[in-house]
Amino acid sequence: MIKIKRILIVDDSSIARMFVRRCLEIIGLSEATFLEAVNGKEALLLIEPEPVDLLFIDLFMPVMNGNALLKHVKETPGLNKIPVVVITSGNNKAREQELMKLGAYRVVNKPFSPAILFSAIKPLLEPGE
Amino acid sequence: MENNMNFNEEKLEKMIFEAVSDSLEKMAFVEVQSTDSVIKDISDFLSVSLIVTEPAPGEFSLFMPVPLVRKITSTIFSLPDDKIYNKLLSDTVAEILNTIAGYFLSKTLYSNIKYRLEIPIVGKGEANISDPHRFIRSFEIEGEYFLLSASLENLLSKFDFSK
Repeated sequence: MIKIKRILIVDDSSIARMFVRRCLEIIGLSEATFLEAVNGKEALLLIEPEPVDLLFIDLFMPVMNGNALLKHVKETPGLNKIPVVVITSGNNKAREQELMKLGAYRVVNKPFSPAILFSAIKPLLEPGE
Repeated sequence: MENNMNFNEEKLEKMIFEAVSDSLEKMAFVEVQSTDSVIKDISDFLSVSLIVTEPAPGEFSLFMPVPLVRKITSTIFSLPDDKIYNKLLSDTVAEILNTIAGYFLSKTLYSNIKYRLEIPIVGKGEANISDPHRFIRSFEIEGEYFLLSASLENLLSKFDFSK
């Protein structure tokens, strides 16, 4: 298990980013530092100098989409160990398998709740005090 | 043919309801009921529309009374009322519709068919209640009523009603 101190949420929707953050706060990660980016390119500018402990990415974004960001992260030494949770609004098994092959830690389909997000990242969380 | 259309309409109703209720229940922990109540005046409702461009042209619109949007926003983001500003309300409605539309299309289209949605647009909208080609349904959350309206006729042939 890893200690989650820094989390990056990448989505072109501010509300979607807020919602992911809120879910993570509810499941016990309110003490983490949250970073946000509107696309993959902006995300890389944030994590290349200092990697994060957990990365949430939306699949469909302008400039650099989730697929491209996931691929880049998983092919880059220093970044490739970051667990990446992909959030998608499509419930498509073939796409999910493709994302897992690219190295996604989990694929979470919208709509999701804090409980669903907790279930997705539970193995990464340290035991509670 | 008429029976088949009736069957499809029943399935469509079920799928729309599932998309609306699942989305709002997961996002905002609210229970959604379908209702036959007729909502006559939506002039003060927050409205948002979203265009479907693939696999065929379509459109979804959501019309919600401001107090309901405020309640949902407060629940989702755990914010007191004085921290909820108008743009946050608009953005919340947009995200709700985006989630509903994406959920509905991903569950309803044949599995080999992809979809594409435009960015939701917020504004005063007309429900086109008198348009017979539009799918319009009312829902209720804790005594507050809202509408979902959709133009789906170009998409119907791409829906897998056997799911």
